[in-house]
Amino acid sequence: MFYSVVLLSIFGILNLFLGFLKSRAWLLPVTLLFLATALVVTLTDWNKSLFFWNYMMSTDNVSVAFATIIIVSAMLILPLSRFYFPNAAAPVPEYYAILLFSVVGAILMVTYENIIMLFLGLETLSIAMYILAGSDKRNPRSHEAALKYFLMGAFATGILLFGVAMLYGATGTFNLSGLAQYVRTTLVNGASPMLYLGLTLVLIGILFKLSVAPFHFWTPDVYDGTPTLFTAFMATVVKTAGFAALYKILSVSFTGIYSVWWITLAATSVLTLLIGNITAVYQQSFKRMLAYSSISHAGYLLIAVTAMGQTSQSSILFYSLAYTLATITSFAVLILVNENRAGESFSAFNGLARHNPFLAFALTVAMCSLAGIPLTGGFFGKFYIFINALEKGLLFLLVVAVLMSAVGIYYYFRVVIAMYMRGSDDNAVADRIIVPKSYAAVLAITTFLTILLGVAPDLLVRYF
Amino acid sequence: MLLAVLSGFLVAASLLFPGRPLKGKGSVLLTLLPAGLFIYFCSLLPQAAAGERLFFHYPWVPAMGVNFDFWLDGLSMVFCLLITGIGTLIFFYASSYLKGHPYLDRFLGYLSMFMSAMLGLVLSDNVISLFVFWELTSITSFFLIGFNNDSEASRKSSMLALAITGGGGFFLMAGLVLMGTVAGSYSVQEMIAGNALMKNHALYGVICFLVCAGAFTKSAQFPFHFWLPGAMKAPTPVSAYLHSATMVKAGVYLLARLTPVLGNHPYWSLTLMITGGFTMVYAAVHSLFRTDLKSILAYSTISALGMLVFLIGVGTGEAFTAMAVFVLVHALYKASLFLVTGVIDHETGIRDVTRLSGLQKVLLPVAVAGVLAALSGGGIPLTFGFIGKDLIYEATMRAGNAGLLTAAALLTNILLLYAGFVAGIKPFTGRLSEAFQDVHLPPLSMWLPPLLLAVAGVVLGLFPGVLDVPVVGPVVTAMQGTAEGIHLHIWHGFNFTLLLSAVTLVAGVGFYLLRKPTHKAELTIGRLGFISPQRLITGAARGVIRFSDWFTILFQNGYLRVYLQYIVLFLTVLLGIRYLGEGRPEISVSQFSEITVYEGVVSGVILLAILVTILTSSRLTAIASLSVVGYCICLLFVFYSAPDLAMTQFTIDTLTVVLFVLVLFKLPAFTKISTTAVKVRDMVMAVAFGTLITIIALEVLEEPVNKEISRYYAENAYVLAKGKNVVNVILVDFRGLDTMVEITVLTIAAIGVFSLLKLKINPAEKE
Repeated sequence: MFYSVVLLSIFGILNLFLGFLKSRAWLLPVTLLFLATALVVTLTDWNKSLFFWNYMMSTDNVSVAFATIIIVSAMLILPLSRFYFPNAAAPVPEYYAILLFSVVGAILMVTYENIIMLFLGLETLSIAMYILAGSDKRNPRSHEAALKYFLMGAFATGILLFGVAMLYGATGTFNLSGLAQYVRTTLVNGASPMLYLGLTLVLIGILFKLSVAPFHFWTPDVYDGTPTLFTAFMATVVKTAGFAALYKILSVSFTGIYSVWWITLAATSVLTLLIGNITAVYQQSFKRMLAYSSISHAGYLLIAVTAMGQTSQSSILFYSLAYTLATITSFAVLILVNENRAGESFSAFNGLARHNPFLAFALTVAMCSLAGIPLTGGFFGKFYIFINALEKGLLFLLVVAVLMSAVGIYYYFRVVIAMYMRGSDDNAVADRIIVPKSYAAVLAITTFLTILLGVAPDLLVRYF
Repeated sequence: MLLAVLSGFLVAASLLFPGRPLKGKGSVLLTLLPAGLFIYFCSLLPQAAAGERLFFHYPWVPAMGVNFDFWLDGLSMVFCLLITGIGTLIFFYASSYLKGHPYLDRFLGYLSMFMSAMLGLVLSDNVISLFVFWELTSITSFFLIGFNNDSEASRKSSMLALAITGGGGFFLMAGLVLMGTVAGSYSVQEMIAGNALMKNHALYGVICFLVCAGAFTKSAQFPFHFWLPGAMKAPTPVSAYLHSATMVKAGVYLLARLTPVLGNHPYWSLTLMITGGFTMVYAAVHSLFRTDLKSILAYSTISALGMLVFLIGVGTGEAFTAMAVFVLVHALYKASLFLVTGVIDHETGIRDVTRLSGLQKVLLPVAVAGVLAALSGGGIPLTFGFIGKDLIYEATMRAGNAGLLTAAALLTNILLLYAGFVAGIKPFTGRLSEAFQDVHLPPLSMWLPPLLLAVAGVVLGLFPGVLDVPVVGPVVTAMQGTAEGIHLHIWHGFNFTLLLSAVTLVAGVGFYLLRKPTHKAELTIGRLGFISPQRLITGAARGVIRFSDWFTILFQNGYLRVYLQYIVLFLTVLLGIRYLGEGRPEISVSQFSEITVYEGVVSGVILLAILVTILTSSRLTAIASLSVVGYCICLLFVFYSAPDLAMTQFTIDTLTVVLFVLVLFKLPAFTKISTTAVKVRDMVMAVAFGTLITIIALEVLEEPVNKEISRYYAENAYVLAKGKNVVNVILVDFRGLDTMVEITVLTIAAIGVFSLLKLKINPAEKE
């Protein structure tokens, strides 16, 4: 993992130099090759338990798996950029470089052993995202998104740092194992308000990035204003990395004081599920609906974290993967529809099934997966999380999750109805969308994997 | 067995996906699939009847205890036979009904997918795989209801059906997972073995609630029944197959399947008896007021489903027998009536029963089918329906509270007979109107299926003995362990049951002769719509949307300052609870150093500057006084001999002020000053948050401080790194790597800033 971090940093810089080349044709393949190299390097750490940089980073199978999800999502999102920048002057090499840097940040977030590395990773990822959110420089909505994201993010960072400082003040260490040691031994003598406060602040800082209610306010505005390609990145890579980080700090260091933090997480997860799902119902724009859906999925994932147990890690992994795949599909189809039919609302999808059965099918599978319908990965994701909640006896969380899943069907299937059961009204809209090969490939892969996870989850589950 | 279950999926895949090897290859050929499966299950019938254990195990997700365990016992056998048997006729019928339809392939694909899912549902021993198939039936039903998708009503109905059945599905999933956690296994057979544990468990009530919610939504029980009439927007073969004979019975099947696990408990029996009993009477009364043939059939289907749930709730051996028989009776006559309706609709284009009459002259075989089916449905002696009705009365009379139960059953049966007659007999009797003179008989494939079903209803009524040992007995065994003394008779002798049957018959037929369905009645009931559950539930759904609307406008209004307010508020509450919850903060003032004159003056300046910042109406003044605060803090650092910190603060503060001025100076002057109320609110929030942070900061002083690291750096800066400036050494040596990464971060930020600075937007582009 150490090498993948170093390699990706170097590759990012190389990418900046590639920008000097006249031809852009090699840019995408080369960047994909970079990511593939990083992926292979990451996978060599499988079944090893290692520490790097003087206990700054540690890897195990879980972090390798999370890093794999992150790199694979980046590899699936990148090809969508193929025709995304019509403007020949668009600084595509810079975008790619920033994406690679943000992957570095995400990997740091899943492999950190020292909380400072968590902070660094989070910031590397966040700052890259601030820039990408504002990358559509001629669109005021994009500016708004970037500024909002930045101000909110800076606020969250401040809270996080404050918390990290307090954790250090209380325990005298930044290391996860050191914190765990402190919780196990020193803390038995009595409560430590500073530790608890520090933990609460760190949690809030991370929850902010995960757009967990009530820290979610930035999400719809930012997702909406950001160019869709980068929204897809935000909704998948950032979320996966954030949950990996949250799970890591809680599971490694703070299981001993479960009673201190579980209520905070349980309360926020209920709030997140309610707000995410109920507000999604009202949305008229598919993109905004996806923003709320990403909030609500954070709620489901939070249940798995709250129900910290033996199987939580595999639930979070499985759910993140299923969610990531379905989300990439949704955004990919959205990009195509938006470019060809000039709209992000549900009505832009009218009659898509008649002209583009493949797109409609892929999006239907993705919606089924997000809604948790069987034979897609999302179903087993929900199933595992329900089991987690029950094993921990969190029945009320289960009930909220069930109710909200039922609400979810409504807004996920609106687009399915639009595609299959509504005719397109005017003829201009009726034109068949020409699907570029890169999009077709990505959609084929994500759809296949979504179904594979739903039909044969055992392929993945058996490793954890 | 796996192949038998999954074959439908394979066929569906070949019909739905690009390439479509089976496309247009004679849809009649597809009928061979259900027919073959029907023969396959028939061939297993003797083994199942003999009590042989037919269990097929295929691992799926062994790590989670989820497998394809197919268990063919009496109960699943009945349903398998229904699914494949009626399925055969439906496939045969549909290929003519939708002849020439552009999406016939798609339709047949969904249909065979549904059949497979349904088979999987009734065969699964593992409750999770059962649930998977359960949801698949909901999804295929969704696509089939929306199949005639030109109309808004059709889309609405399919959404409603999916929202109700799919949403209920999640309750079921929660219930099944909960059962699995309690029992330690997802296998129904193992749950049956450990049912005592389940019934005494503290969560038994919750399990019951969740499972019933799932089953009731699927089987259209009150108050979730209203999706079913809407679902009649689907092509008629679908109504006959999914929404009458098979899918809606999945809920009934599930309740029957879980009776050995959860049954024989007051919660269970009361819930089922009350819900089922109310549904059967309510829906039967409703069917009186309908004039659309499919609507009448839909309500009488709901009523029949209520009857089945009710019988399971009664929970005696007689009730189980009655349920087993009634499932068959109902499937045969109701499917037949639906198909008859389909023919009428197909040939005349009219489903309004007030306008149909005399069709027996032009559609004779169909009329025979309709009349036979109506007779069986009405329970006329010598039909299968008669036996079913007899058994129902016997069950209610031997249960506790017999009077009430029997009365409910009697009323329902009378009304069902009426509804059956209206749908099956009324269109064919009377004078043939001019408009229907040139109506002609459809091809054989459309009139033969209903006729076969109806004739089967009569034949089984004449020879009920062929069913009791191989089919009905095993069902009862599956539900209560034994099936002693189960014998179906064509005739039970002169007794009170017979009297009840006679009353049903006379009252029902009399009612049919006296009362004709009218539009006026339909309008009357329409006026009561405002208190119907449909109205209430869709109203609630609309309420959620309105709430969502209101909530979005209130909270998600796009103003960053509003977002920050909510977040600070939440933060204050959360930290406050966390902090004060740990006990009173302990701050010992005694250990603080004394306040000197300088510090007092500086603090005074800070306070003054803050007040100016808040009160001024000029941006520049606010920024300037904010910078005063910053410089005063620098001074405080100087007093406490921290010149390096003071320098840092000084530089940063200057930079910030410059940047602030750069940006804010370009903004227009304030046009709107907040009202006093808003100011007070903001003040309260600011004071609360500030106080909390101050208390925390003071409290932190109480904690023992670990100086190990600073001591280490101070001691080793020169020894190890040969540097005299400790801070520099830390930055470039001890934490060199961090610095490098930090520089990377700055580089990224710089790229961003640079790209923004380079941006020159033409005035024209600014909108």
